[in-house]
Amino acid sequence: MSTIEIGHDVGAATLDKRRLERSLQKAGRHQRLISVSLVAPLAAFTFVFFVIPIFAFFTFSVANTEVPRGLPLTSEAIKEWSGEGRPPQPVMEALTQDLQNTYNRTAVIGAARRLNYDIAGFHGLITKTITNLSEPITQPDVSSENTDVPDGFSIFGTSETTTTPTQTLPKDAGERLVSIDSRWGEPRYWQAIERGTWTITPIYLLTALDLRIGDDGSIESVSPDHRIYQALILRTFGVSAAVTMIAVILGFPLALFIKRQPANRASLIMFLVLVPLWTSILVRTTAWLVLLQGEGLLNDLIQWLHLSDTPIALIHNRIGVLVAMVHICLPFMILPLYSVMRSIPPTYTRAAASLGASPARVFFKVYLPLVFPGLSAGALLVFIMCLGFYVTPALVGGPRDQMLSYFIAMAVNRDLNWGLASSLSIVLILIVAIALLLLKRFSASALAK
Amino acid sequence: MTNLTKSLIGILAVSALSLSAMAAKAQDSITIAEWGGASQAADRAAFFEPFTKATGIAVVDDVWQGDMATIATQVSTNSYKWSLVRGESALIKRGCDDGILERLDPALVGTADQYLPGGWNECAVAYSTFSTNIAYNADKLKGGAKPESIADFFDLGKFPGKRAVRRHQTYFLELALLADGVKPADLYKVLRTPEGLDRVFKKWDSIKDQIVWWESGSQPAQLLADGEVVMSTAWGNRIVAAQKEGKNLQIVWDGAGLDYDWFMMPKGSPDKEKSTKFLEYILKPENAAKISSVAPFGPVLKKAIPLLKSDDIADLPTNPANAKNAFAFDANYYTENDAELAIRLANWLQK
Repeated sequence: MSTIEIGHDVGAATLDKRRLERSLQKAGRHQRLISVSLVAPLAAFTFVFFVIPIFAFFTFSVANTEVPRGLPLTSEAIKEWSGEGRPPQPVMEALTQDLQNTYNRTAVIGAARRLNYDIAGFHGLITKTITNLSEPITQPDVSSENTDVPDGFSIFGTSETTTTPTQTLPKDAGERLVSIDSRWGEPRYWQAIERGTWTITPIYLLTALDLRIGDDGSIESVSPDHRIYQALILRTFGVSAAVTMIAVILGFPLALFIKRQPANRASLIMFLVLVPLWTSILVRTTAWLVLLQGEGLLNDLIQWLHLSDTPIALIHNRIGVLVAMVHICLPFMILPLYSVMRSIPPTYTRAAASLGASPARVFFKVYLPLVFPGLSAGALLVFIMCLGFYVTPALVGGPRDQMLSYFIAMAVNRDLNWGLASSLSIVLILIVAIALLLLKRFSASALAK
Repeated sequence: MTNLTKSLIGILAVSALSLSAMAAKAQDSITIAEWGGASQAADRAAFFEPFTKATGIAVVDDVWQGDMATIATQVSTNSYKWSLVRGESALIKRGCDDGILERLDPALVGTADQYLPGGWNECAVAYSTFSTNIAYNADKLKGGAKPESIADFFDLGKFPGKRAVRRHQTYFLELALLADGVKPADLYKVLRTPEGLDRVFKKWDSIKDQIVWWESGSQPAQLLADGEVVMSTAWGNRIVAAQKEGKNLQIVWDGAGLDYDWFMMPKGSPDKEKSTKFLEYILKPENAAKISSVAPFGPVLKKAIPLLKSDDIADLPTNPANAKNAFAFDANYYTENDAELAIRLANWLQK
């Protein structure tokens, strides 16, 4: 349509530039509209089912609503506190009232759980305080209870003699809380409540990096026997990098080999490479369990051949994890490599060789740069897949082989700690971002050579 | 009336009948979540099937792994999957403290003096005693010596080979301290001191590279039977169940950890009425005693204890002959220190 208009204009003595531009723009706009409307469903889908949920999930990592919801009076009163020493009387009274509010019990427990992430044991402190505040102690007399218990059954209850205060609790709110548990006299517990009233909280992100807010308000490292995540992040990165390396070392020659085969044999080998993808990861991992365990097929073979007298530990350790993960990831390395290799005409390497380059030089100077797009795509694909591995390390790995996703699942399923799960996911995405940046750098410099 | 209309009416009537039957079936059932394996099979034989026979209310099985968070989610989202859930004392205490369990009718659960000590709670019904033990496979032991004490579990010289241990803090802590010479009565006193946990991990360090970790209760018997490990921590009843299948697995009774299994009800459960009927049923002494005849679980209800048959007592964890050096798990300790224990264990496992 636009060409017809242009054709008319050429016929005129003077070329109306402006008109031409306008008609070009018009035609362009029309085409843009078509392409946008074609992409729109995908964009909307991605936005609604990908961007929004991920963004919403990430907000969990700093969300801090539990304490104001569970302890509303305390949150209001603690604003007046300087943060030094024991908080003033109104704060103590407000907390007592909040804890005695039975209608808000679920939210109070939510606040207790949130405070427990800040100071371990806070949850128990709050439930203990609630119990002691609400009911005058009517514990059944333990000694009379034991009289008609048969022999051996008396073992139960020996550890049940809890120290429940028998004296009446003091009237003064502060004294009463401290008499229930002396921890209420320590400023750090009150500081944790105060931190719970902030609009957003850094504690989940700090926890994901083994950091915490110290008693003096500064950020400090947690004690060595509480550290979990730093080593975990390094391991997740390390295992993924190792699997990627092994997949390159195994996948590259195989892809090269397949490419050199006649067409029908090549497609047969490709078929064999792809067959494992039809089976679920769970099944493939369990198969490795059968093969590698102490009394498994491989160990039987080793002992039959007298290579070793005792079974070799191949499972529930790093070896098992690497073997199973490489097996699962290998097709994703071979596919992009093979497709790129097939598109490279053999004349290039022949030309280089005929001009006198040694085989090594041909490979590194000519072939590798040509294959590089496939290699980098495969490596990136495998690396990112590995970062999120969960089932395989859980089944064939030991406790020292678990990766980030194991702890994310644990935070979501066992602890209901969405803040920590979200923070760990952010760490995972950051690793992917770093990997992408590194690859971009690397490929730019590799191609520039 | 033509044949066609007749048959049409017939079809309609039949489908209406089957529909109402389906509705009745959906109405008359409760779902109970347990830990799978032999212990769930025992409950099914002792309670579920007779209960269904007596009342017409079917019991649907489900399995869980002790994540109280799942119950909390069901309660807070008002989408109930489970009518009753089986769990140990520490879980009950935490659930009750957190307010995610239904408070039971005092008329139903009665008073504390009707149960073994510590076997009463306003949120749940204790119905069986179970033990956590050390077990071994007598067919796979090389040499004549057999493990007899907790200390043997840590003795790599006398019993070389792998050991399976549950990847969880319960029994893990106590086992190490008992082997380290702490008396059963002092266990939780030591654990409450700052050095207590260090002592636990130091003891485990001595055999750390020989440990295979298990998470599901059916694994220990399997690992022992396959000869993957020499010894394993295990729930006693699973070992007895394996014995009944003809495997020569043995329990070491020294240092047994005892606890109760309870039935708890998620708060606001729509099945409360039917579940209450079930709890009433298992709280009748003659029904409560039945558990010991199908599996080595002892009743918690005092009135049921005299009803036990002498044959069934041999493997009971509460049998005085077995319970000599035993201890009872302290639910208070576990609820108070839950977060700290989980972090310390995760940290130690990574090292």
